[in-house]
Amino acid sequence: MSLDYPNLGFGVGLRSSHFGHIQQAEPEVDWFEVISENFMDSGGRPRAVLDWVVERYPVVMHGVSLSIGSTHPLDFDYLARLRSLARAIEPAWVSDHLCWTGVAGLNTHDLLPMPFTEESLAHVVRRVLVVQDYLERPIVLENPSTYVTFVSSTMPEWEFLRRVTEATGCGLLLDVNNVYVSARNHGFDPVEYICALPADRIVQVHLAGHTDLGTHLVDTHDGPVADPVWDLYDLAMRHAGGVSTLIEWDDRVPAFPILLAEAHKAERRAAGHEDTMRQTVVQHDQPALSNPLRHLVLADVGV
Amino acid sequence: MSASNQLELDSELKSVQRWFRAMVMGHEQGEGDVEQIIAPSARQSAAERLAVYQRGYTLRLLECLRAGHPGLRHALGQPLFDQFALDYLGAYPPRSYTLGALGQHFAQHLAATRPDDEDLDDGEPWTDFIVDLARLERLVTEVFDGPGLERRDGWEPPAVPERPTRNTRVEVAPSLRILRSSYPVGRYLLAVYRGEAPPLPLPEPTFVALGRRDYVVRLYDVTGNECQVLEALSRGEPLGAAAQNAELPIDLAWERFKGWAQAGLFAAVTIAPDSREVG
Repeated sequence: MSLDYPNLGFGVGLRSSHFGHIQQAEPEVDWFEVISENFMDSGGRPRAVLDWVVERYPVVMHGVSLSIGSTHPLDFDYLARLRSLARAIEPAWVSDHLCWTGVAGLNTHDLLPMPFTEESLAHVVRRVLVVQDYLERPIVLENPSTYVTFVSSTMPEWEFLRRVTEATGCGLLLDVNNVYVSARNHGFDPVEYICALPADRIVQVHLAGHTDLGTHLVDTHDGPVADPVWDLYDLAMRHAGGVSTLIEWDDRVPAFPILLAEAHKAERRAAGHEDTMRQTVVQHDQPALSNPLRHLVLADVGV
Repeated sequence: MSASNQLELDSELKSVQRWFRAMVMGHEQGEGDVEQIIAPSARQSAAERLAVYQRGYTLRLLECLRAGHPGLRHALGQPLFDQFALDYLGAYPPRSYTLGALGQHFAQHLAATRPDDEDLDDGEPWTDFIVDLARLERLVTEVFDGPGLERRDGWEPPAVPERPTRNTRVEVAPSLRILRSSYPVGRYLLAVYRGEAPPLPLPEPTFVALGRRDYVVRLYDVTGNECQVLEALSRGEPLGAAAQNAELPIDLAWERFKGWAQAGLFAAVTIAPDSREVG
């Protein structure tokens, strides 16, 4: 299956706190990524805003509940809704994560890690093929940030991802911050990770902030991109040859211009211009939430 | 790989995922197996690494419930709200692909686990207030993101004649919800949304109609009679009979009816050809 996904440029995630600003200002941003689950059941303002955005900007659908690695059967009710939304808004592509979210009918709503074994690989490959057949398009899988490794793993994550792409023709969403977070947590070399990925399968790059808890890093999406991640981004863009880049900022979400400034920074970095401003990583010992609440769209209530 | 080998391998992955899920959701205790399944890092033991997911699971869902219940959080205070929310999550662990469904049984759970009024120190049946406030907050969530009239091409509030017509029927808006409560939960919740700090209210039978106009949820206090009329209209009954059964004068019912139509509580208004104007 060939991948013919375009380079959309430098985008940001569509978040509900920015709905008003975006519709009023129509900001100059290359594209938006939307959380699929926020819109697939919406009959209210979120869906109305999405329809407005789709008329003006390229959009990519990014899901958090596909659970491609779960041993629980694929949820075809979910897939039907996903396909329906994709047919309605015609995104540039549909992505989700190399993870599982639950089994036995229960959903943790977290992006849980896979053991990287031959059986996991065969399982994921089978399900990717089913999903791609159902959605009638190659899907794009993201490397999640992880906080454990399994004793049973027999290959590194990058090899697992490469073999999934080889067997299914799916694309890769390379989350550079997740590579950095996982590398620090597990002690592997993030440069080796990125360079080992098949460049022609990398469709998109994610950038986000993380939190250093001392014993481990957490992918909190609650601040600017850290300097070591920018350095890895430079490498990723050289490796992939320039692909769509997206800034994720999901907790303590700033005003839209600040988010947009991060996208502009990525654009400058991709063009080979280094910023002189250095970014310090947030360090604290408070509970930090990985994969924060990207689903939340709070009700507008007239008072 | 043979089919039997594949089944064996699949079941190994399945058992790891079952164990991991149970540990993350707090359905299994103990660390006996942890180091056989999870490798330690240079700075964390296997159990400490697993705990990252355990904390994240609880915190993520708790924050989701907190965000959807500003009124309950204010009424109970955060520690007690969290206690109730965690108890709820234990009883109703999430099953849906969407976190939008997370709180759908919260009011039901609060009602099922409420203490008997005679067991309460202050003798006040405030638990009714808590349960009804939870119901109202769930309705707000449903109305906000559920189907509405805004996306119907060219929809405008239906025109209503000045003079009352008994044989008027309506198609109610898909967003219309009605809540009966023994406390003024609507006024309380609106005060919280305005950023005020309302005290726990005294008992007072109230009736709240929820609707949505231009994607904004609106709460309307209605009287008991008006509530009966709205409910009868929702069942497809004509306004005249609805008002009569509710013992609401038709002129007054008509005034309310016009306001509800303007507020977008009705998708369409139909006046039958054989209807007679009143008065």
